[in-house]
Parts: sequence; structure tokens; C-alpha cells
Amino acid sequence: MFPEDALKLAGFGQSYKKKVRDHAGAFLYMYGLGEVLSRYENKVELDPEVKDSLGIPVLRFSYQYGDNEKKMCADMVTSMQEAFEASGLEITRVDRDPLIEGSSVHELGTARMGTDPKTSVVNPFQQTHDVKNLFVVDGASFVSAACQNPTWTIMALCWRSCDYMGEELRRGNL
Amino acid sequence: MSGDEITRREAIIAAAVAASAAALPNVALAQAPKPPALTAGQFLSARELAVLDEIAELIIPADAQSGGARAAQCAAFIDARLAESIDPLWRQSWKDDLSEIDELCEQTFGKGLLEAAPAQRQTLMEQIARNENNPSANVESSFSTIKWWVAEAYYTSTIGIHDELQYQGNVYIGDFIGTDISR
Repeated sequence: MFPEDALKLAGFGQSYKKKVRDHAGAFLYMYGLGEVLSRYENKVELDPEVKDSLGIPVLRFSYQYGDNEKKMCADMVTSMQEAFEASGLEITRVDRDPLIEGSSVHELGTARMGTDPKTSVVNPFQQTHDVKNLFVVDGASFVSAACQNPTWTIMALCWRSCDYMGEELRRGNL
Repeated sequence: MSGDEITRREAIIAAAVAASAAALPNVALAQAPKPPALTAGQFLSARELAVLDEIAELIIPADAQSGGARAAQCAAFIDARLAESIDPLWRQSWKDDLSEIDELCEQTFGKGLLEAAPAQRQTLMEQIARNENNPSANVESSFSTIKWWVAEAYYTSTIGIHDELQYQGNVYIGDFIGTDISR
């Protein structure tokens, strides 16, 4: 029941209080989710200089939105505004900017999936190209983070890997 | 609970609402209580707590519908959160922010926030709230932070939820009437 727009509406005093009251229970918001395309420039690596308190190199992230993400975001805002306007809703606030890079995170990637050992770590069954008995069955094989929570996909990929692993074992290939 | 008791309670509430509405048309039913005497909070000093209490009431004042931030004890709520915080930088930032607003009032009107006239307090608030969505000066950021917390405190209080927003939830329902889906 908390009136979320109390934290967003500008102003103070009687007019602010009345606005919150008028909107209470009738407030809704919409936000868009989109996939950031995987690009070579976006990467995570071991920092060559900064180490943690145990002397282990910390992670260094290089990550920026590209044109596709910016245009997709602008399109989302336009579409959502159109939907609200067509519904006869009063629009009280529009945020046009995407979240700051890295502020919404699912831990994925670093052992990307692919068919070419030169550009990927695991094959389509999450088996490493270099070590045949090693399967990486978490979110590391993702080449992008899609636009939603990854757990179901991680589980599905794991299932697929296990089926493959069992079949290969039966054939004596592992 | 029997149906008779609910009926009686409803009747009493209805009568009370009707009586108060008839007796006091267009008059603020919920006046802000007077500022409490200066006493130190669990974390904030007496002055800081009183300044926060005043700013909170200016953000969400009492009106005909309900009590304001003072009646809902928003300043005490925030003070309690500060007292239990393990983040010394965050705690100190509140002391600094409240002092800075108080000093700005002193510089502007020759009086601290607690001593300034109501119109002067209003002017000061308009000054620190003017760039709320894109604060640049420190006092403007302070206003945004204070307002966020006051709103959190107020609209999670009994006064904020039930008196102000008329939330009807969390009540005992004696009979399940249901819905006629045959029509």
C-alpha cells in the first residue's frame, strides 16, 4: 500500500501531500527491459595493478551501452508513453535514461559458448574445448545476459549438458 | 465476532464521521501538535532533532484529512534508524546536512530554522527544494534525502497509511459475502 510516487513526486507541503493522496492506490509504473548486445569491447578481466587485501587481482569491468541499446531505450520510452496516453492515464514522470551501466547485474559470462576454440571457452554442451572432462554448467557460458533473470536458462542448459554427458559416457567418449 | 457487533461498530464510526463533519466544516481537524520540547534523540542532538522535526512537518504538514509528519513522529523514526546504523559516514552526513540547512536559514534571515517566522521557513524550503530532481548544491541534495526518508516514515505510519491514505486493509472480515458469478 506504500504510495511509491511519494518518493518521486517533486515538491513539499500541502500540494505535495494532496498529490500523493490523489494518486494513492491508482499509481502504476512501467519500465522496459532489453538485451545489451555482446560486443568485444565489453569485457571483464583481471586488473593488472589493483589487488585485494589477500593480494589477489580484483576484477576490472569494461562496459558501455552502444547505439543499439540507446536507441532501444528511446523506443521503449516512446512506446510506453503511447500506451499510457492511449489508456487515458495521467503521466506524472518520465525517466528517459537507462540505468547506469552495471547497476543491474546478473553474474554471467567469462567462459563463453561457441563452436570455435579460438573465440570461445566451451562448446554448445558447455564442455570446455581444452579439457574434455570439464563441463561448466553455471551462467559462465552465456555470451550475453539477455534481458531477464537467467536461472531457468542456466538450469535448462545444465540439463542439456547432463544428457549429453551421460550419452558420451555411455559411448566411452569421456 | 457476531454480525451485530460489526453493525454497531460501523454505526458508531458513521455517526462520529457525520458529527465531526457537521460540527467543523472546512476546518483543519488534525492540527499539527506543538513542537516538542528540545530533547536529544537517540543519535541526533536536541537541536538537530528539532530541526529535522520542523523540516518534516513542512514537507508533510497536518491538514483537514490527517496529521502530518510531526504527529507521525517521523523525526524520531529517522533518529532511531540513525542510532542503529553501523555506517558512521551516513550518520554524520545527517548531522552535517541538518546543521547546514539551519545555518543557511541563519545567514538568510538572521535566525535559525526554529526561530524563523513561518513565512521565512517556507521561503527557505522553496530555496532548497527548487532543484529537487537535479540537485547540485549540498543543501539541495540534503533536502532530497530528508524528503525521501520523511515520506518513507510518514506513509508507513498509522497516521500516513490509515488516516491520510484511508487504507482499509488489515481488518477483520466477519463474513465472506462472496461474488455472484451466475450473472
